[in-house]
Amino acid sequence: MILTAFFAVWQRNEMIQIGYETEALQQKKTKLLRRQKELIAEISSLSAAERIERIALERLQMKSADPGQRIYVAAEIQNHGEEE
Amino acid sequence: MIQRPKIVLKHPRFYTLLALMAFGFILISLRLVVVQGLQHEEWLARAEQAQEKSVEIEAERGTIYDRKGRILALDTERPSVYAIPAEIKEPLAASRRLAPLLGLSQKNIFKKLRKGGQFVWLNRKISPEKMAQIEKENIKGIGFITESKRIYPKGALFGHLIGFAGLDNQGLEGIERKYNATLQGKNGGLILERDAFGHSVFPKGFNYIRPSPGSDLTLTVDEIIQYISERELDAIVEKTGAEGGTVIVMDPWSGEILSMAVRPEFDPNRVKTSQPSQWRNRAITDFYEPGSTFKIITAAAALEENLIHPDDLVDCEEGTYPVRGTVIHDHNAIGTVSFRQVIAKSSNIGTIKVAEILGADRLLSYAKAFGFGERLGVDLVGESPGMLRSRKNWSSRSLASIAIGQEIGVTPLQMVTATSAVANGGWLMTPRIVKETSSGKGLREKAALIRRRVVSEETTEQLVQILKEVVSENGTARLASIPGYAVAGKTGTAQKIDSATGRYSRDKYVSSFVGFVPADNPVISILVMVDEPKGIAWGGEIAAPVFANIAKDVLHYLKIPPQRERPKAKPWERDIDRDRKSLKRVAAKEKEGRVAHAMVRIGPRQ
Repeated sequence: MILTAFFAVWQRNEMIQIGYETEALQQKKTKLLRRQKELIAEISSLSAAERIERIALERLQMKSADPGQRIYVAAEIQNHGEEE
Repeated sequence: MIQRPKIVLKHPRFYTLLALMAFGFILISLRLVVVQGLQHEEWLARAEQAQEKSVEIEAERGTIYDRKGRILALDTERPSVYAIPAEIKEPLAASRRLAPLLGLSQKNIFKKLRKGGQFVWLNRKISPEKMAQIEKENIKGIGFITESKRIYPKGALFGHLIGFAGLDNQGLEGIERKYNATLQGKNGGLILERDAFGHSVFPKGFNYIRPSPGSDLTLTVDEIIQYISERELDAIVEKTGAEGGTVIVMDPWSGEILSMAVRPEFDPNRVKTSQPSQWRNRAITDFYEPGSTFKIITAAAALEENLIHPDDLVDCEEGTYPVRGTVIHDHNAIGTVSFRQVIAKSSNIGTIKVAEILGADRLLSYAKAFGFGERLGVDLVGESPGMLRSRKNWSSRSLASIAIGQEIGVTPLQMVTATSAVANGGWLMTPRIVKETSSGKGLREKAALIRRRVVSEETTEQLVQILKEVVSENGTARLASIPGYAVAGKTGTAQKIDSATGRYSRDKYVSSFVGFVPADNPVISILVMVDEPKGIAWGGEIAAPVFANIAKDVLHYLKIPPQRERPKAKPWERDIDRDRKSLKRVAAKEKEGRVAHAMVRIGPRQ
C-alpha cells in the first residue's frame, strides 16, 4: 500500500515536471513562430514597389527606360517538338 | 466460575475526553458525507475553478495575396497585457510602473487595478519589446496572452480595397469584411491546470481544442499595377489640388480588377488616426455624372440599332441648339461632320440629335444593358447601383441630358465595366476581385462570369474605330495617346451639382477618361476620374495624360510590345488567353442559338 502510494505521488510529480518542460518549449515555439511571422511581414513591407522605386531613383540614381530603349524579343522555345 | 471485574469510573475526565472525540469524529463523518456526497458537484466545481483556467485560442486569420502571391494582409502574434487586480497588493505603485511602459495614463491603469476582480485587460496587442520591458518589472498579478494582430505590409496601397479587421479579428471594411467568414476560421480552446503558485502545467493537456485557421485569399489585383495607378493618381491630385480621384484598371476579357486606387488615401494600419469617411471605397460606393464618357453608350446603342453609320453626316449647328426650352452648346462649335467626328470632338449637339432618333426607351434599355442602375455583383461591400431613373420619371429634357451623361449617376466601376464590354466584343462581365480561396481543403478558383451580351461584335468593331479617333490629333484626348500603341477611349468633363443651389456649379467639375489599350486587341481597360481639379478641368487635359502614364507603364510591366506580339510566358496572361477563347466559344454558340445569355460561366469550374 505504502509503495503504491509513493509510486502514485512520484508519477504525479514526474508528470508535473514534464508539464513544465512542455510549457517552456511551447513558449519558445510560440516566440519563434511570432518572430518568423514578423520577418515575413518585414520582407513583404521592404519589398513594396514604392520603396524599391524610390531607392532605385534616389539612392542608385537609376532612370526609367524610355520606350525606345525597350527591346522586346519574341520567344519561341522548342521543347521536344512542342512550343513552350 | 470466572468473576468479571467490576468497572469503576476512576477517571471521569478520560471518559469525557473520549466522548468528545467520538462526537468530533461523528461530526467530521457527517461533514464528509455532506461534502463528498450531498455537495459533491458544488465542491468539485469550486476546486476546478481554483485549479483550472479556460483560455480561448484565436484562430489565425487567412492571409490575403495579390495575383502574384505577394502578401497584402497577414496575422502576426502580439502579446496582450492583463491584470488580476485581486493579486496586486499595491495598485498605485504598480500603475506608476506600468503607465510609461504601456503608454497609457497612470490614472486609468490605477482605476482598473483598484476595482478588484479576477481579470482586466490593460492593453491589447502591444509590441514584443514592450512585453519584454514589462516582464522585467516582474509585477505579481500582471500576465500576457498572445493574440493575433492584423498587419498590412503594403501600408496605404490597397487600403480601400482590403479594408481592415478590428481588435477581435472581425473584418470591418473591404475584402476583410466581405470575406470575413472565409478568412476568420474557428477559434479553439484550452483548459490550463494551475499549481499553487498559479503557474500552468500541461499546456496542451486533454482539454485542448485546436483552432482551425481561416482560408487564404488570392485577389485579382497586382501590386505593381496598383502602385502605378496610385502613384499617377497622387501626382494629378497634388498637381491640380483636386478633392480626390479614382483609377480602376481592369482585364476586359475576364472582368478581373487589376487595380483600384482611391483618393483620399487610407492606411489600414492606422485606422485610429483616420476618419470613417476615408475608409469608403469610392470606386464602388459613390456615383457621379459621367458627362461625355457616357456618349460611348449612346453611340453603341445607335450603331447597334443600325440608326446611323460612323460616316453618316450630322449637322452640329455651329455649336448652338435649342432643346425643349433650353439651349445646348458645344465647347468647340462645329458644323456638319461625320458621326465619327461627333464622338471624336465630343459634340453634345450631334450626340443629342442621334439620341433623338434613338428615342428614350431604347436609350434607357441600352443604359440598363450596359449595367447602369444595377449592382454589378463585385465581391466587395457597399456597391452602389448608381442612379438611373425609371422612364416615367424622365422629364422632356431627360433624353438629351442622359445622352450626354447628365441626369445619370454612375460608379467608376460601372463605367469601366461598360467600356470593357466594348473592348471585349460586346460582353458585360461581372467585375471580380477574388481570384481564388485556399484552405486545408484545397484550392478553389473563382470563374469569370458573363452577365450578358450587350451589343454585337460588329457594333463594337465600329465603335472601337470611332474611339480611336477620340485619341487622334483630331480628337479631344490626344494626350491619352501612347507611341507605338493604338488607344481607344473617351473623355468626360462633367459639372458637379452645387449642393447650396441645387444647380450645376460653374467651378466644380469631374474630369475623366475611360479607354482601353491596345485598341484592337485590348489587354487593359482603364478609368481615370479626378474629382474637382482646380483650374483647368477638361478630361482631355487632366485625366487623359494620367491614362497614358498608367497604360504606358502597365503595358511595359505586362511585356506587351508595341507591335502586338505578346509573349506567352506569364501564367496569368495565359489566363487572359483562356478567357478570350472561352468568350469566343460562347459567341460561336450564341450565333447558333445554343446559349441563353444571363450569367454564362466561363473559365474553370468551381
